[in-house]
Amino acid sequence: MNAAQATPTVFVVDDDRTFLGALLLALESADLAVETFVSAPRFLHAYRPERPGCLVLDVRMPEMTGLELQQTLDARGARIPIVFITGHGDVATSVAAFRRGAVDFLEKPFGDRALLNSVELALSLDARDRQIENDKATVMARFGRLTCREQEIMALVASDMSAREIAAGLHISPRTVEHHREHVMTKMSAGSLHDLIIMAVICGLHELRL
Amino acid sequence: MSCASNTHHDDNDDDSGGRVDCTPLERLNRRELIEQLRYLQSVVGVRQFVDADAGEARPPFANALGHYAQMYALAPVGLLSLDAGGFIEAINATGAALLGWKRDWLLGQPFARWVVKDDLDTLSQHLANARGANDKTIGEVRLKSRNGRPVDVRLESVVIDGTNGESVMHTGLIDITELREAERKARLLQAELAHVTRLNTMGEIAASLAHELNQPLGTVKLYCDTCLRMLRQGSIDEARLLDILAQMSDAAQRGGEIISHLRAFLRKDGEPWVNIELNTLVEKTIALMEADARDKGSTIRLALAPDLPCIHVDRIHIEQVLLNLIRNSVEALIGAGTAIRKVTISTRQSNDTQLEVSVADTGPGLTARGYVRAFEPFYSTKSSGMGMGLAISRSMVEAHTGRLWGEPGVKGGAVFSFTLPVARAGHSA
Repeated sequence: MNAAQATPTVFVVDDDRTFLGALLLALESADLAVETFVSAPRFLHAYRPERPGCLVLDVRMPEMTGLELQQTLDARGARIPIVFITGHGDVATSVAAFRRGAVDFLEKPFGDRALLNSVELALSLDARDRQIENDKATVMARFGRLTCREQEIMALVASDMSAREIAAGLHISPRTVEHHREHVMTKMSAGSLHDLIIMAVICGLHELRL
Repeated sequence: MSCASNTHHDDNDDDSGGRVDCTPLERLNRRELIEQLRYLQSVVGVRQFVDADAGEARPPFANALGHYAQMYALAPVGLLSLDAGGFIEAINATGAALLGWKRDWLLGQPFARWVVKDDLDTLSQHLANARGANDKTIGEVRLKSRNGRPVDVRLESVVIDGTNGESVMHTGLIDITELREAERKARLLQAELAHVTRLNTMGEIAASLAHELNQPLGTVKLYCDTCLRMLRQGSIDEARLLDILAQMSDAAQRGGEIISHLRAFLRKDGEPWVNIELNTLVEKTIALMEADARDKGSTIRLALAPDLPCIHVDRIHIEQVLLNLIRNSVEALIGAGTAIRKVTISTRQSNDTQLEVSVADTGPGLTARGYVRAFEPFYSTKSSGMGMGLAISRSMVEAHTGRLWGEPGVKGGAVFSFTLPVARAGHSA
């Protein structure tokens, strides 16, 4: 499966310019691509969800707070992982942030190691999420290229039915089933039945019974 | 006013008896005595007096003399006559008791001898003022009494030209030590209360202040760690390092300022008054409050008039007043449910001698009666808080000869304003 990955960017939003400078240096010196913003609206204006990366976000800002930005991104379906930073964390805020999927909650003053660890984690989560999204899109595209009969056969194959059982069910010959199945395997680029089952799960053809 | 009119005296003109009560009379000729009595009339407000023609002594007059002599001696205020040179010509028993010496001994002594050294200038100023005035002149000095304890005395003086062309100053001495002491105690208590409320306020906004402080601390820590890492890797050049160190220094400085400002605010009272620009004072106070306001969902807006003259104030007290008003506004906005939560602080010059500060909010405002009751001690609409904030604030502003009041805003909400006098030329910076 291909992973068309652009270089991930660490987006940093903090209204304190001095601190923003410190964040920039800490991240850039660790060979990360960084973009800084002094307010949440400015970030929203510039951000494109397709860009990979993570967000380092100050909780308390005048125009729009970090939590409000998190909600807005959520509502837009942008699932960028967020590392929150705060001057003085209270429990309620951090709980709210984590409930919405925050990666970490760093309380000032923190060192560069803590920052870089959280950012690395956030970036890996983003990469994983994007990989899954990417795979899903690829699989769905391939699935879309199957004929109706092939899609039907794929669903039945994934549900672990033998060629004979399928043939009986569809009132066609087992040979024809075999023929369709080979087409499905090729078109879906599935190396094994195992791969095909996973793809069927991704396409929503098959529910896993765990 | 006590008047021992029932006591029998067989006084006559040359009363040379050994009765202590009448001693000052021995030294007075009749004309002087009449002057004394006239003075007495002016000071104690006695209506009936000697005959218009006082030149001839008649038996009723002799009685009156005895009568008034006793009144003079035992008057509830000290009565003192000074000659042009400031020497004691006459003094009554009450006055002598104030100084703590026998009257006989006091006569002919310079009055200044009993005045506390620091107040000698005040005394000579008072004497000069009394000589120049047609009316009663009022002053205040401290006297050294015999037991060493200073006595606060109010002086009420009139100068009357004597027969020989020399003027005599008649002075009433009123002991106001207890009054002054009570005032001092009240001031002390008020200062204590003000200090306690400041601590209280700080306790409540401590979380926000911790945040403010962590901001520069966070900057220093992160820069420092990053520099260490880069130095170890050898991936930092000198120019970059210099720039970063400068940034760190600024941040540390900023943290220090927050602390020092906080400490200044929490300091006990007794700092000298200072000349300060009102807008500067407002901005410094906002620095303490802004984070808390933001936490509570309010924004603070400033509308400061430029080029205002300086004010002469107890800085901490005025900051406290301002802080109180802003906090009240921010808290009024919490439960208000209004779309816009804004506190506007404006300054302006209301006239030649006064500046005005207003704190307006977009909250629900108060009832007409609320604006009056808000200043009553222990009146509070908040669940927490002593209800002393506005009462203390008002007395602090009044100590600056200013005024503090509340009223509904033009576009709704509440507006609390106070005035402060412009610093005069005499005020040292």
